[in-house]
Amino acid sequence: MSAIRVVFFKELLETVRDRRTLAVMILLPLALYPLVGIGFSELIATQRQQADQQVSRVGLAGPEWHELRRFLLDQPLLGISDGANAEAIRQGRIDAVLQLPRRPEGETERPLTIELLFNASLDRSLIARDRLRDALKAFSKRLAEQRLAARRLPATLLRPLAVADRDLATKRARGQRLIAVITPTLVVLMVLIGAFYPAIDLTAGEKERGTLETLLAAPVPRLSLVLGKFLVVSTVATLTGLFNLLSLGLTVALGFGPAFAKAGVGLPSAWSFLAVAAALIPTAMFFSSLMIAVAAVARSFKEAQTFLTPVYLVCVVPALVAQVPGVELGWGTALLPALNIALLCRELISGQVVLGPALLAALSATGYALIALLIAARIYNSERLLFGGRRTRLANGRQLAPEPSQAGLLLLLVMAGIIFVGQAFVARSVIVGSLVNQWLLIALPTLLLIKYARLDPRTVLSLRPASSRALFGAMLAASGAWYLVSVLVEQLQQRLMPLPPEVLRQLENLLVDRQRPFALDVLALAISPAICEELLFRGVILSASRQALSTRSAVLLNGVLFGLFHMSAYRFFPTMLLGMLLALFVVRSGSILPAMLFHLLNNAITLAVARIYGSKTAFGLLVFSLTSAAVLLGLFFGLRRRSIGAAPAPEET
Amino acid sequence: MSALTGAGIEARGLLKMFEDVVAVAELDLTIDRGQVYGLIGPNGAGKTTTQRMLAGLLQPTAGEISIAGQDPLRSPLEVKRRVGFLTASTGLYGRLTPRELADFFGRLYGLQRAEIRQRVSELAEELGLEELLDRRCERLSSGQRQRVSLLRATLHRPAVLILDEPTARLDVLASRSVARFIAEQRNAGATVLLSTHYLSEAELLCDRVGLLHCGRLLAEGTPAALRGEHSTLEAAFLAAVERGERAAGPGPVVS
Repeated sequence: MSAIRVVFFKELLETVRDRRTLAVMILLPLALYPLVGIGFSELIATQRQQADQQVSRVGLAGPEWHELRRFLLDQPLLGISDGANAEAIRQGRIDAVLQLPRRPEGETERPLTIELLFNASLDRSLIARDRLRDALKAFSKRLAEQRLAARRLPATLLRPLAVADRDLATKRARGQRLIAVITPTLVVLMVLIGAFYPAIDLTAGEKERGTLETLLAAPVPRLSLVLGKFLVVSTVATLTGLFNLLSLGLTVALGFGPAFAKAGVGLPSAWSFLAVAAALIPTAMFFSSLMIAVAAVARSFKEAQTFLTPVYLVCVVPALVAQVPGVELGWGTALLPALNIALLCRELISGQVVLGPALLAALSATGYALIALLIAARIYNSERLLFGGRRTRLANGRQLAPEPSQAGLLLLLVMAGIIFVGQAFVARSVIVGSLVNQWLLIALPTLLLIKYARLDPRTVLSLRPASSRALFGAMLAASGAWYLVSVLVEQLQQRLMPLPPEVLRQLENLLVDRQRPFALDVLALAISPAICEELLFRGVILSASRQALSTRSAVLLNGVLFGLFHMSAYRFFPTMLLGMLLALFVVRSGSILPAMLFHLLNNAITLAVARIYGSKTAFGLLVFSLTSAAVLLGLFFGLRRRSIGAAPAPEET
Repeated sequence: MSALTGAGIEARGLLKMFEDVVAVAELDLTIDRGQVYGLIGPNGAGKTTTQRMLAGLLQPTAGEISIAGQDPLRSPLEVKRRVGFLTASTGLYGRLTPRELADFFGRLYGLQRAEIRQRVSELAEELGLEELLDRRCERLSSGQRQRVSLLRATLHRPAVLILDEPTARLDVLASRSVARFIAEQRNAGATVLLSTHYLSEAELLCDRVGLLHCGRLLAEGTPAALRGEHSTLEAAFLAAVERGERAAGPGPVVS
């Protein structure tokens, strides 16, 4: 306990002496809200005032209607002119046009339609529309009353029913609802910003500055070190959130109070702000531990920034989701990390807390924080993550593995290319689209990275001969895997997240086109992915992630990324499993060839079976047993570890 | 641990592998109490890996270690309490002053505040740091930083000092004051294991020297014995490397 305290106070002192942290923690919130909030509200108020006083330019077109003209001329803020048309609105010379109807002689009581022309993309035109609508409603009412009067009927005939609103919400509740929408997003955002720099500084920053080794040499359990650091990051994140909340509260109270009062809306009570302040603690704990765990993997400040930015963006999403009406804190949402906290903040401010889910949310957030902390502590026990230990360069200066950030960037680039360019080709022709995707959008950028980042292709892509045992194993396993995937994984998928029939039909149409020569299918959908996707995933991505992670985690990550890469929630599980298996083949055999062979056979057999039998065919027990046996035997042969030293270590400087 | 005799530093069959690359190959090392031992070798010879294992920072793949009679695998914290470890980079917290730094590490090593104060003033005098104790470390020169690091490493009166290239990147004057401090520590009874590129320095400072190459200890002995018929220790080292390579063939290397 005392070691944690010593580490805590030392890290806190260092953090407080870092101007960046102080600026983000105190100066930014103190300046941000008053400046942005009050400045913005004044700007809006001025704009609104101007718009309110501006006369709308309205054109009257069609047959003359004196009575209506006189009525409109009497209205304030409407400037009436003649002869305008739609073109005048488009050119911005006029805000709205009333196209008057031809009124039949004598038959004056038939309902008439007046066309109101406006341009919804212009504020002025929208204001003119609203003013005209109100005016025409009043005019219509006056006409009706005149007609009733002519028949000596009371005007109340027009209103058989009146509705009287009675809002039971207090002014304060209305205000709380308003504030409750934006506060959780801001709180999460600010806590994240508060945790960001200290989390990097205390982990990757310490590694970069060379102080970590000294610290680890001290007689302190590593968990105590991690806990000390965690407490500092959480404290800074909580304080950042608190300063933000305080500044936001003061800005709202002082800057918006009068405006709120005018709109019949009261300010949230100080209690609800206090409650949110309390909720800041589990929020800060969760995000701090998450960021420490991620940043601890990085070797430098810059690398940690690269790792943490996507984490930051992913964490913001739940905060935004919490703004969506209808998303509420229940037993289910209380378990979703980050969302639970944002929802808890919302309910606390709006003052509508349901105790059970609220407690569960706080508990689960704390639980997730603990899990992330334990992961961070594990990282502090990993020799590879703390000291590296592998050589990264060859004698000729070529790098043995890409940086994780390089691989991440490549993957994002490839995915963006497929989304923005590749899909257009696939929509026209599956074959051409697949060939473009695989060769131009996946393989080409991968090879360019290897060339320009001066990576050693042989090592990065595991371009080594494979043992015949590994190749045989891959072949055998692939000959059965397609069926196991369709039986086991897809059954599970159908239970958890059933494939809509439409998507299934689309998928079938995409894969099975009996007009196409089968060889073309195999070339585009089996051979090409087996080469190109393997180069990217089991080459660059796998070797980069093995730099930063243990082999097991790298294999898991490879599967998850491969699953995400297929950009379909319905195909996620099968492709994730496939990705892990392929990565395992590369790791165990030291060569990419078994993975390519497996990928090729798996796709080709799936295509062939789909073409012959249709994609949703259930075979009997015999096929199930045979394929299972093939997979098991194949994995047994293919995934046996190669003996140490079988593949000679590359020559090093 | 019956095979080990309880010398200052002792290692038997010390092996460290990173994946399938051998960094340190079955090293045997015995350094008597109160002796200065120099580990000499080029970059990537395995010096840092060996020192990290001895300081309890890395787990050996195989082998036994005893540091001042303690086994780092069984009681890592006990061993760390007895070791003063100086890393190759000075490893100072730039935003702290030497006094704050000493206070932090002193408390991590279990010293009382009064004890820390007393040790800091003693060591500051020895190392000529009195004027610098309240200046932030980021504003110190590299020689001053190295002296602050030595203060940090010896604050808790360690029985064993493990110093990774203590005079690297220092000018002549600074390295001389560091060398003098190391000699004083030895005279006070500490066992010192230092690694260095500078053979002349090793010859001056060390009671015994080990020549490490590709993770293997090629030769070991007093500087004079190792030099043998060669004119300098450097020539002896090159000859030993050549002999070693002829005997073992090219082996896997790691830093």
